[in-house]
Amino acid sequence: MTLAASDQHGTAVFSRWASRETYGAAFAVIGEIIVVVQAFAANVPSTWTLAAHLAVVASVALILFSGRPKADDLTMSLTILLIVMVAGPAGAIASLVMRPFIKKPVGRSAILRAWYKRLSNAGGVGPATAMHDRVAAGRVLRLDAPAPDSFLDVIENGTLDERQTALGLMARKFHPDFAPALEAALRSSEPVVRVQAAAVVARVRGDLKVRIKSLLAPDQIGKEAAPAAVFARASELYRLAGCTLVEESGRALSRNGAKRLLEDVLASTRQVAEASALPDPDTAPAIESFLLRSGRLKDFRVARRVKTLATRGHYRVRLLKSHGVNA
Amino acid sequence: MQLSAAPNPKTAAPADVCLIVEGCYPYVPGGVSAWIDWLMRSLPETSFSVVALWPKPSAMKSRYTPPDNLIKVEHLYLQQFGSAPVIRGAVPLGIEHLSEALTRLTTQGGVLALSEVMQELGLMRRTVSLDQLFNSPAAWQLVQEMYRREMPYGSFLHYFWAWRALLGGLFSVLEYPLPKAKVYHTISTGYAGLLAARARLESGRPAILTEHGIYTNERRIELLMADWVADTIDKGHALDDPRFDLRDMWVRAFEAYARTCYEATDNVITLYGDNQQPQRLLGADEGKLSVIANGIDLSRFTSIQQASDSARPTIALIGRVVPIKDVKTFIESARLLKSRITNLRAWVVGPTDEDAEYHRECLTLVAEHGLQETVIFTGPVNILDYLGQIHVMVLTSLSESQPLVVLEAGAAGIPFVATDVGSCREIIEGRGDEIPYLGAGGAITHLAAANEIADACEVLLTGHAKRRAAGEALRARVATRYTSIQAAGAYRALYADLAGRATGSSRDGGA
Repeated sequence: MTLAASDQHGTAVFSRWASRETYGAAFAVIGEIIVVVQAFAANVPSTWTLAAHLAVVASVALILFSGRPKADDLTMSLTILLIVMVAGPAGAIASLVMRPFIKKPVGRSAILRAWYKRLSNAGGVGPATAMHDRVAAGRVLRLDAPAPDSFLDVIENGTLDERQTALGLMARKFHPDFAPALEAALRSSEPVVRVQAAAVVARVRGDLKVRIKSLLAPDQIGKEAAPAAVFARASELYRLAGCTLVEESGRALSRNGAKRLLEDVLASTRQVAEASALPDPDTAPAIESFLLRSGRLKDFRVARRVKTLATRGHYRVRLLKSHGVNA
Repeated sequence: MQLSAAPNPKTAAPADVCLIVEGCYPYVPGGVSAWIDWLMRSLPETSFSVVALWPKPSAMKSRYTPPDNLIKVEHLYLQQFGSAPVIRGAVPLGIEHLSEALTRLTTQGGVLALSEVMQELGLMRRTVSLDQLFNSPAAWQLVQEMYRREMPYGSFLHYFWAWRALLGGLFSVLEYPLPKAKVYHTISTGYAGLLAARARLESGRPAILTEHGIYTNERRIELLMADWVADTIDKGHALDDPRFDLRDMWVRAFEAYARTCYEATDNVITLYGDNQQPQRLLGADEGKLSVIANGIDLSRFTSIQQASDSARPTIALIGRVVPIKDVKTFIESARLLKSRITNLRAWVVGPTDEDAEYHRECLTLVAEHGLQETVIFTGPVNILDYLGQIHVMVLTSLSESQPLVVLEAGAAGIPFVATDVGSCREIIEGRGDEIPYLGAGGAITHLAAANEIADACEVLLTGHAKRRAAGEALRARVATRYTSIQAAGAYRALYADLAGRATGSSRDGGA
C-alpha cells in the first residue's frame, strides 16, 4: 500500500505494517508466558529466565523492525517493544489488548506529515519534479511578453545585435511580408548588417524557389479535394508572386500557377459567392487577387459583399443565396 | 591528408613563422589559401610551418605546390578528441574549478580565462590524461554542472552534444603539441585563434592575427541561419527574450574565443578599415589594430591598352558564376542598359561549372530577356586577353572581402562599378585619409540594385573623359596602396620586428 493509495482511499485504509505490530505483540504474549511458566514450574535460575526474556524481546524486535522502510512511522512498534521489555508478560498482554485501540490510520498520518512538512518548510517538491517544472516553464512561448517589434523598425532603428538576430529569424522563418525589412537591411549603413542580409537573401531566394516548385508540382495542382486547401495554395502563390525577393520568372510562374488553380473553382459567379463565404482567412485574398487579375470586377464586388455578410452571420448569406446572388 | 610534394629535408628545424589556418590551405583553393601561398612565396628568406585545422581526417589532396620555404604541414583535427569511454572511475578533485574556468572561457573569453583553464587542466593531467577525462564520469559531471549553470530549462540531450562538439574542439586545441616557431601567425580567430593565443601564453613567443573576413561574424551569420542547431526554446519572433539557447551558446563561444585571440595576440591585422569595427566591438585593443591590404603584381598589367572610345561598349563581370556573385543582377543591369546603349556587350568572365543549376538559370534569364547577343559567358579564360576590350568592370557580389579583380582592373586602368561589399568602397573611392585625394575610380552601388548599376555604367560608358579619369584614378590608387611589394614588405618588416622582440625577451630571461 502506497501513500498515494492511502490518500485516495481515505482513513479506512491502514498500513500493512499494522498487522506486523499485532503479530509482534502476540508473539511477545506467547513468549513471555512460556518464560514465566518455565521460571515457576521448572525452577530455572533467574539469570536463565532473564536471558530467555531478552531473547523474546529480541525476537519481537526482529518481527517489528526487520525490513521496514526508514521513513516508516515506528512509534507504535517502539512502544510495544519498550512495554514488553520493561513489563514482561504483563506488558505483552497489555500491548496485544491495546493494539486495536491505538492503531493509527496511515492516510491521516500522511496528510499530517505533508502538513507538518509544509509548516516547517522542510520539504517542497523533489528535485526531479522541480527540474520538470523548470524545463516545462522555461521552454514555452511567453504569452505575457510584449508583442515582437516590426522587423522593418528593428532593421532601421535597432541595435546591431537586434538587427542580426532579426535577420537570423527572417532567414529561418521567412515570410514574403519580411521582404521590405530584408531590402532595408541590404541598404544598411552597417557593413556587418549588409553582409548578413546578403547571406539571408541568398538563402531565402533558394528556399523560395524550392517552395514555388513544390507548390506548382503537377501532382499537387488539382489534387486537393478541400476548397480551403486550394485557396491556401493559391493565396501563397499570389503572395510569392508579389514578393520582390522572388525573381521575375518565379513571380510569373507563381501568378500563372495560382490562376490555373482557381480557374475551375471560380468559374461562375455562384462559385465565387460560395467560396467567398468560406471562413478560411486565406480564401478572400486569393479570390480577390484572381478576380482582379482576370478583370472580373462584377464578381469581385460580389465576393466583397458576400465576405462582408459572411462575417456578420451565415443566415444572411443563405438569405442572399435564396434570392440568387446573380441577380 | 598529404601534401602532394615530396617532404622537405628541413622538417626537423623550427620554422621562423608558424601559420595557423582553419579549413583552407592547402586543400581548399580560395582567397585565403591563395593569400597564404602568396605570403610564403613573397618571403622566400623566411621559413614557414603550417598547422591546418580540420574537423577530421579526409581524403582531400593538396591544391598547392608547397614552396621551398614551407618546411612542415601539420594537422589538428577538432572532432577526434577523446579516448575510449571509461564507465567507472573516480572524479578527479578540482572538477568544479575546471567547470567554472571552462564556463568563463566559453562565455566571456580572455587571456586570464584561458590561462585558468590551462592551469586547471595541468592539475588534472597529474591524475588523468585529458583525452581520458573527456570520456569519463568526470566529463559527465562537468557537462551536468555546466548545463545547470547555463541553460537548466533547455534540452539536456541537445546541450550534451553541443557541449561535446564545442569542448572537444577546445580540448583538441589545448592538448595539441605546439610546434616550435619564432612567431605564430593565425589567419582567423575561432579555434585557430585560440591555438595562437595558447602559443603566445605557453611559449612567450609573439603571435599575430590577420583576419580576411571577420570569422566571428561569419560564424554568427551561419549559426543564426543554421537549421542543424535545434531551437529548444520557443521564443516566437521576440528579439529581446533573454532565455539562453544552443544557438546563443555557439555564438557566444566563438565571440569569447575571438576576444581571447584579440587579447593574446600582439598585432591584429585586417585587409581594410571597415573590418576593424567588429574587431573593436569584440574588445580588440586599438593600439594593436592595423591594416595591411592585399596587393597585386602591377607589372602583369602594364602592357594592357585601354579599350578605345569607338570600340563596342563593353562591361564585364569577372568571377565565378555562383549565387554569391549575384550574376542575375548583372544580367538585369545589362537588360536595363541595353535599352539605352543598343550595341552593348556584357561579358561574364569566369568558370560556370561550380553551380551548374545557377548557370542554367542565368542562361534562361538571358534568353527570357532576349540578351543572347549581349550577355556572353566566356567560361574560364586568361583575363589579360580580355581586359583591353573592357570599358567598365562590374562586381555585383553580395559578399566579398578584398576582391583582387578590383585591383587588377585598377592596374589596367579600367573604372569599376561595384556593390558596397568588403573593401570595394575603400579601393574605388579611396580612404578618408587619402592625401592627395586621387579621385573616384568608378562608383559604388547598393546590393542587388540593378538600376543603380545600370545608371553608373551608362555614365561611364557614354562619358569617355569621365571614364578615362576614373580609370586613371583607380590605377593611381592601386599603384600607391595595393601592390604586392608593399604587402610583402609590410609582413617582412613585421616578422623581423616580432622575431627581434622575441629574441630580446629570451635574452632578458623571457620564455
